[in-house]
Amino acid sequence: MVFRCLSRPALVGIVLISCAGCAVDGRGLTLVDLYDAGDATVVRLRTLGLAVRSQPDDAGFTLGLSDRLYVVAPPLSAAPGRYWFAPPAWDPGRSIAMASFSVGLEFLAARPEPGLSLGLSQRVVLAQLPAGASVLRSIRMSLANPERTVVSVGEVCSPC
Amino acid sequence: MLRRCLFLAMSVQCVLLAACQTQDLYVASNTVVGVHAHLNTARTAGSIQIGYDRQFATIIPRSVVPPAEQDDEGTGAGVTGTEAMAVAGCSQVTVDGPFLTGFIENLATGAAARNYATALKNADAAKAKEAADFLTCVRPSP
Repeated sequence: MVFRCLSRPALVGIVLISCAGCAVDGRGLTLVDLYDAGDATVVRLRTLGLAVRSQPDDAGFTLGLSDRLYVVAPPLSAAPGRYWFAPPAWDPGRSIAMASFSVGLEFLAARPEPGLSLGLSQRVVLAQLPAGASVLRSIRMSLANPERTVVSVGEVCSPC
Repeated sequence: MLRRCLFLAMSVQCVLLAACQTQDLYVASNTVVGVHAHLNTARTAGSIQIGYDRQFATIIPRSVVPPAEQDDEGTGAGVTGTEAMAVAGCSQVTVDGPFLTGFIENLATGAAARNYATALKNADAAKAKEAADFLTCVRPSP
């Protein structure tokens, strides 16, 4: 009985939050900022409501407020600046690092730590590479000031 | 009924998406204030946290085929099996309050990692220091 009484407000809350906005892979009610970061572009996606993601490194959904930063290398062809509704020339899944902050319900299906969070959650992926990959790179990132991010990608043979 | 269907759909999606990738090199931090339930597919373990929790994890693949150039160094001559992925680097995170506010990630993997490991032993002090600075987050990659 208690469970049934609680489920109605929860359902109404979920529907109201979902109605606030909806985005799929950054397309929808999304505020997009692109920052130049040297050898990469930082893509910032802010959504409110339901945001669904299908890229392998960040698959899942958020119900609530979502603020995500993707470090994409090589840099995007689009000019740095603010965009609405969709990040230009962005191929989800190309990020070399990412950071997310969400308020509400977040479901993450991506390996290696799929899970479900309720409340405030922050996930910062500093590196995710296929086994056996050869890379050389440096990322200096401020989550509060993503425009200050600096990424340098070196030759794999360095120091030669 | 709706709740059961939702849970079932989420479980199936989780399993399907988790199963379609091989193990990667993974360096990450996770911070939660609230309720958090998660699985660790690398260790086949799971947990539920209530309240505040922060984790920092590094997963290094343990089954990488050694590259051919290792044979020249004599360390991998005749190797036919697999070994752990070669990784050299430095991760430095900045924390303010409960959450991370920034990080520095210097990363060399594969051939680059072996080159940096070799450079640390270089007789040329400048080259050795350059490698050491990279591996201690003092300077970025060239």
